[in-house]
Amino acid sequence: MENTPLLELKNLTTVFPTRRGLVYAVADVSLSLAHSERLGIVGESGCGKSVTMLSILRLISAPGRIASGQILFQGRDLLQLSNREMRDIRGRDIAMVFQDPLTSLNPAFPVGEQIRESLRIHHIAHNHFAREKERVLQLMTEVGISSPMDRYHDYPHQFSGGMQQRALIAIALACEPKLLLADEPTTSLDVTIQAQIMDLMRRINDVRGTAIILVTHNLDLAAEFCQRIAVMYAGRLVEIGATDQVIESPQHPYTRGLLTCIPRIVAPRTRIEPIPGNVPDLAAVPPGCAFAERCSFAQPICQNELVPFFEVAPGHHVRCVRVNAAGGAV
Amino acid sequence: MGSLSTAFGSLGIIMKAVKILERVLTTIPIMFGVAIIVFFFIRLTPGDPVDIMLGRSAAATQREIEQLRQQFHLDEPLHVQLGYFLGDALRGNLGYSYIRNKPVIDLLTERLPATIEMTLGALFISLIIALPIGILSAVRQNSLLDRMSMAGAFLGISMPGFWLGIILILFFAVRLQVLPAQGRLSYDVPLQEVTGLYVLDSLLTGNGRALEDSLKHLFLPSLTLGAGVAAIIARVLRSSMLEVLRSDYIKLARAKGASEWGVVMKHALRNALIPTITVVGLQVGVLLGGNMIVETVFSWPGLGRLVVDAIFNRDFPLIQGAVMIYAITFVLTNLVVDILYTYLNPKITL
Repeated sequence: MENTPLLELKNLTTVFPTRRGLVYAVADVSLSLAHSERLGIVGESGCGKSVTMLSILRLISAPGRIASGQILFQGRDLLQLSNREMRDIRGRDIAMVFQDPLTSLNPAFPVGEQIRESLRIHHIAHNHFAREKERVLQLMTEVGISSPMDRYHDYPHQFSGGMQQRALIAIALACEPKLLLADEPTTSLDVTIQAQIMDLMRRINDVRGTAIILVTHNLDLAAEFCQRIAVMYAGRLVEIGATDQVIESPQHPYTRGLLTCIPRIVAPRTRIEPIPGNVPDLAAVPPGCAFAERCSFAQPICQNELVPFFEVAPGHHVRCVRVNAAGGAV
Repeated sequence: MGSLSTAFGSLGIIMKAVKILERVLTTIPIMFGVAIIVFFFIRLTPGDPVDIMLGRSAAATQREIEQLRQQFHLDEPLHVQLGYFLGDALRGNLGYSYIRNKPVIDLLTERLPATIEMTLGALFISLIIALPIGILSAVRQNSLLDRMSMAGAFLGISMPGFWLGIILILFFAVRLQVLPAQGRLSYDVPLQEVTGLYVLDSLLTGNGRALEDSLKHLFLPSLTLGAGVAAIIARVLRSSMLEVLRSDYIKLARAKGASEWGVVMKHALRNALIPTITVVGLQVGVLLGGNMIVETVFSWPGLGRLVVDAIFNRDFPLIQGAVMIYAITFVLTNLVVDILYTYLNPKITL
């Protein structure tokens, strides 16, 4: 059991039909996640990170759809489940924390009730009200909402941004899921609150062994929190490896570009180098490497042929022809 | 801690009651304003009530005319007339109808229940039609059902009440002969009046026969009056449902594993009702106004026909009284909407 990965995406492709044609928001993404692992998915806005997360929960809203691939959760392909079976998985086995806590909480219901709803849906406390409420108060304490008794009946607008995010995490944790999908959980929060929330997530991972996929555009945040990092670009995975490997010796030109974009205080004064050009139109991604147009090392072959993954070090995979040509060293 | 929060809970209820009382009290100055405006506006309209009353017959002498003018204080300056009117109104006396020779208050209380019954009936029918249609067409956006209901809603808005009423009478009363075409109750059905709302009265007195009969009489007028309102409510509900269904908290509800029914009926509907309630409240005013036509079509003995007659006859006291009733109803409806609002939207307090 421990040897089978908790989650395995195999060639996951999610498309959205638009007037300009099919948009491949997630194209042929494969990755796996071990039990209790912390994985980061990093990339710019619109690169398909969030859509990947929503695909795992099968929450892609029509007309978008998962076109092909497999999502194996504990060996079961989620794409083969009935809607009913899928609903049982959502919230109970796989939970999600969304980006914007204010809009993610329902303004019409007290926060405590919204946490309790998760328990109620999955019959965690056998629909026993007092036990459910007790569990909610426990959860609220656990995620750091002070005097939960008083705050149980408060509405979302009476919570601060950080407290709202804690409430969302409490909702996600309610059924003790094995996997937590955190989609930019700290983006809308200020830096000190951000640190507290990341601490909380680390504690959850430590204490409960909940595996976490952290989706973020903040490479630093991912580097600090995750054991492995996957970099996405234009719907495709371009590099994946242990955090040290990806940060210390990035192999894909895009990853390197991302790293040089981050301003440093300690490092020698260097200019921030923006990556030239723009993200390609997802409805017309070139057949070859999606990054080729912006890449200073691009060769003719990059434009035309789909580049496979090359393993540059154990567990460190990169989708770039240069890596192969240079035998791993860049 | 628990007792503290219950104490806060009951305190909250008391606070709410005080706020509601405050709002009820503010209706007094509003009514005062309404009274003054109505008073001047009817007197601005051309046409002399005494002329109309006497039918400009040659038989009426100048003296008779003068006498009548004196009797109704029409010979006095306007501000004195206003003084009489407001003074009487404060004592609950809305004056005497010129034409019907009865106290206005009696005429109004006699007719008001019929109008209230039809308005409530229309509101009920429009909600019964609009709620499921609004919800379903949002959930199944662009489906056949959605397109058909929105086309139906368009039709509902476009059909004038008098036309729809006549068509319904032709079909149900004349062709099928299953529903009565006029009145509130058949002549051979006895009913003891309690509130004047016949459906309610027959329930209160346990009169099954009258219940069936009054419901049958109520159905066509309510449907006629409610059709347009149903169409408007359905459209508003649909568009606010569509907006709510796209929101993040709906996504979260789904991510929790909530069933589609739970997502739509609990998480989405509650929020979509907020703008819808506003429209429903405003439509009550439309229902009251629309009464006049529908009451005429169905010979419904309500306020609407009384008011139309009063306007034609320049029956000043009766018009004033009726407008005051309309205004009170409107203000109270708004109050009810505001109270409902605080339940639906926790961000709003009275």
